[in-house]
Amino acid sequence: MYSSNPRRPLAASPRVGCWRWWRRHAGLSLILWSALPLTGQAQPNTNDPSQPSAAGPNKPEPQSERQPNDQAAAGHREESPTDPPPTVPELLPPQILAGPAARYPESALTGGPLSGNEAVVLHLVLDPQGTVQTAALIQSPGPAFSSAALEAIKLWRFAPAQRAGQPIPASIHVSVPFQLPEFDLTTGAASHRAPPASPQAIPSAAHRSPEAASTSEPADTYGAEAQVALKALRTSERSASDVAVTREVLEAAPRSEGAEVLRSAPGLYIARGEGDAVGHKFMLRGFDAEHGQDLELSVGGLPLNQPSHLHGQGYADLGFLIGEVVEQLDVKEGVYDPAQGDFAVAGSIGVQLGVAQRGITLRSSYGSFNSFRQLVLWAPPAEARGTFAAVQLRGTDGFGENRFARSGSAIAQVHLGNGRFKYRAIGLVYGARADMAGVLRRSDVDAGKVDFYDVYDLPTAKAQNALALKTMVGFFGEYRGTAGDTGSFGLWLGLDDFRLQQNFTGYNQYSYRLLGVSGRGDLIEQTNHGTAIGLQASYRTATYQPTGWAKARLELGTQGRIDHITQAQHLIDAQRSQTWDERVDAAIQAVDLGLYGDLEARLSSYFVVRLGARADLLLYSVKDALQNQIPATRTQSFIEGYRRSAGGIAAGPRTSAELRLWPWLKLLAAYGEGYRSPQARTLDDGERAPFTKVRSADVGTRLDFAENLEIRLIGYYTRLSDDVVFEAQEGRLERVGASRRLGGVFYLKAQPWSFLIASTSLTYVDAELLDPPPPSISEPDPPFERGQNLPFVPPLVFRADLGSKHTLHTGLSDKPIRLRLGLGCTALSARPLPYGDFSAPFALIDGSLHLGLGRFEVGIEGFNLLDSQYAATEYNFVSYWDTSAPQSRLPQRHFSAGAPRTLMATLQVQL
Amino acid sequence: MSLLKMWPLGLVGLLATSCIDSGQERTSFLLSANGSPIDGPIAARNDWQIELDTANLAFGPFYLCASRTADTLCDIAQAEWLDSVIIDALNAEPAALGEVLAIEGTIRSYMYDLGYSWPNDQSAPTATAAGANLGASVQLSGIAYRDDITIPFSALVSTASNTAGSVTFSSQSSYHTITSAEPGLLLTFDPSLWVDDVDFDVFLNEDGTFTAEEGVVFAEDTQPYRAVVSGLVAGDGPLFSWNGALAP
Repeated sequence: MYSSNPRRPLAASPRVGCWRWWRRHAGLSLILWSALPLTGQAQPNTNDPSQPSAAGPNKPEPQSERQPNDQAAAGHREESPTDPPPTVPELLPPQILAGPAARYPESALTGGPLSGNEAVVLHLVLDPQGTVQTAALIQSPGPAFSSAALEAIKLWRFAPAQRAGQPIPASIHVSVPFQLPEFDLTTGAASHRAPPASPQAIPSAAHRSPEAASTSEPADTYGAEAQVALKALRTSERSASDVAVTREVLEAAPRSEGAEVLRSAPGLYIARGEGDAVGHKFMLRGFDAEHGQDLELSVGGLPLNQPSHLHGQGYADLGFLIGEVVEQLDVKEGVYDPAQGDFAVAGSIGVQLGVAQRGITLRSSYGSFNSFRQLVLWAPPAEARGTFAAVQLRGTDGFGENRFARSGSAIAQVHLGNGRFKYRAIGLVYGARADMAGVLRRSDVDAGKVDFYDVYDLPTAKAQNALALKTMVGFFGEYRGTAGDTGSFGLWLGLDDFRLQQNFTGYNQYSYRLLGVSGRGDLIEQTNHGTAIGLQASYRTATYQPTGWAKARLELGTQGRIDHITQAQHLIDAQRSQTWDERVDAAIQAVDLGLYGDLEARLSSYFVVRLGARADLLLYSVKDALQNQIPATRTQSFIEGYRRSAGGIAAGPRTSAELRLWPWLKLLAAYGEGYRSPQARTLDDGERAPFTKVRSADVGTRLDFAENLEIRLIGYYTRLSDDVVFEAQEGRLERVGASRRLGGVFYLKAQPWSFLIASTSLTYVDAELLDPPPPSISEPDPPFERGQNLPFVPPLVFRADLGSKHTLHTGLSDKPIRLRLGLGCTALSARPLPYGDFSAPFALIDGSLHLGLGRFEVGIEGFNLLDSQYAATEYNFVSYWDTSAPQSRLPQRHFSAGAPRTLMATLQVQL
Repeated sequence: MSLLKMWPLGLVGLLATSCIDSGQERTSFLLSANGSPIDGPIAARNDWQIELDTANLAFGPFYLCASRTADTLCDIAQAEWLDSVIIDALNAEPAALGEVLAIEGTIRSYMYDLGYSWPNDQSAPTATAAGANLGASVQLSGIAYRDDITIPFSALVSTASNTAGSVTFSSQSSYHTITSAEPGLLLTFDPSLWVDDVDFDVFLNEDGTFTAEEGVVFAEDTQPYRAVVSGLVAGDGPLFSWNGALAP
């Protein structure tokens, strides 16, 4: 069904056959199109694609003389090099008014033997306003170029074709060029002239940029003036597990919040079990990454993981993220890239920001549970897609008791420079406060003591809430030397404030500080204030080519950060607003300075090997005011508190190899060693920082069967030297010894037609404990056994995204109606819990429908359409909520409810 | 839940649950209790002989622990029975108490309350259902005799933990490994252990005679009362028979 040669010309491309078949048999939108001609005249139906259209394919023609099937046929026929140029004198062809450059695909920079002067030929149907109605691929060097071209063409503006001075619909072929910049050494300008497009491909449509038009460049000049934005300075794909989730996939299915774009990363499950002001919980490839301890996260180059955060090591809050400004997820599962640093245990995800739809976007949403969202997005049309400013406000009364939440965030990014040096400035501000329902004991819900979505009717439960404040700024630069060498640098600053009141266990706690005081509610108050400043720099040499078949490049890089953290944990009596115990009062200074090297050797066009290594120096100074606590029953013979420092180096190799057997088939293998830094308060003085070491291996294949079908099959093995699991009694993570994961991933991305995008992944993992803690006096029969599956980790994670875009001509308006349909599905298998329990499997289906007309768009988005009652997170521990009943000391299943069916109506205006 | 909602769950569950090992397994077994058959009088302090007519015990909740000592080291139990019931400790016929919920593994100690529990959030112990019905931890009556003196007695003795959140009786070691095929547990209480340290001399007149023909009641802060409390909380616990229990 699919061409094995992405460069195969149209006439021989089986994919075009699919396209034609769809035109003839399957496209509802096209049926409507045929049935509702703009002119209102009856139209002939020419279904035979082999029959040439009466109108030349590159010749604008009256709507009354055309219909979609003709266009398809025309598209086929247009490949003939003998087609004449337009010959109808009264017709004026469409003119390109604005043709922003397509972004050179990042993956293509390292993908193989490309010329650097690629072009994608598209067949466009324009309406009488000159707006692109449909875009179909005719010729492309590969899927990455196809995606980039289809994305770029959305921004192109045309003067409509005219007949006798009246605008008319038209179909044309255009060539979207890609070319690596050729720097003007005197000016540093990256501007260059793209290669002339094939005359037979675009004989009638002058392919001009606004600059060309403004300088009265002749309309019959072929080719375009293009500014090519190169984003990738270095190799991105190191293993088959590296996936770039592009904008088309991210916008296919609806997302209830910006951070949910991460659901499209293969094998990743994210949940928000602690309300709208606490970071998400992540699970990836058999890792219960909690709030980020095993997943390195960055947005726009700003690192999000916070070391030694009180609420969880590597805590990362993505609540500020605005989905509309996310351009791409760079997902690196495993740790094979030397640029991956702390917390890259299960992998890393870098969120790239950019806005394709330029102008001002106002978007309002309102729906279930009095939820609302207001977005104001400004993307200056004349600027690069990475330049934008966006502000969003969100709120909800909550889908159950005690879930009221308000939040707001602003993100702004500016791209500067246009020569050898390019710069990017980014800033974000975020604030959120939310009440929390916390966890419920499943047996209490089953017994009808509390509703699934509500909260215990107790002051200590209803006082659960969280506050998050965050601001980050960063300044990044890129350098592209004339010899092909590249460099980058970055400087960033982050301020975070976190406060949480949360009760996991009811009334189980005793005061350590006050003799005989207990049972005043286990409402734990956590505060964490962090200030961090960091820098990064890298330099990649020009290609060294000792022989005709071998090339090599060396990259050196460094990343450093200093964190100052103050944190405290108390027990709060909610009824009296009193503090009744102190658990933590600490100040931490942490330094992480990483250095890496990476040698990339291309040994022929078919084999690439990358040898890298990384070492990180980690230093800690801890001032712990409550360590060496003196019990209330004992006389003071010393002063409480413990100050210490510790430090060490974590180092390991990062290697990968890539074998390109055919243009459509790559085999990749990788091995790497990464680390997770320790929670500083667990360190003793002089300790050599017991880093958690991760050893990761990955073997996989990537298949690009056709221009728009990408399949990956991956097997992986990961061994962790010292794993941790959540312990609810203290709300902290406890060590459970070494563990290993053995799993596989299937990933598929398909765009069989320009209007349809589909992406799906299925991840299986067998995660086992290898060396659980031995019995102790307090725990002679520990809950973890050698060989058991790691708790909380789902063996199976499934995700599917499906999006479809259509244009409908109804006759009710001279403007077409834009129709967008989206579907997302996430499913998790049963998860093992400690003490012999399991959480239930669940599946979530989200859907959306949007209709647009001109500058307006309305839509409805539904989340959890099946209204599954599911646990966003689930645990197993001892609690004591109903103190009128005997106290259970057996661990019980507790859960935080996931959202029920939620419907949101949206209105969007594009200015 | 409709079939529409069930199919994805069922499919995913079918695919995944069959190959998950979560370590320890949940199980349950039946609990029953009886009293010890008492042949002849019970020897008490200072050569007093006791014959019991009544020996009712307010028993429960009951916890089995993995730690070598229970109490503060049993925040997480290996098994538990959360009900409470009045046990006739003179009746050798086992009575079914109900189902014990458990996690497979070795138990090394146990603990239980006797009519009163002290929840963590309360300022004083509160009566369990059995304690409220009985009005005490244990109800005793009978006669004590020595030579030609016979003392009818009765007692309502109450005892509870002295710390919020802890349990009244904590045991010595009691090793057993709970498996999924556990037939059941029979607890056999011996009331002689509760009274064998009672000194009835306190009820005699100074000249050694006894004149309260209507009988005596153990008052708080007296040796007999404290002796019974001691027998309840500091003595040996019930005998454990792991070979079976009655169906409820």
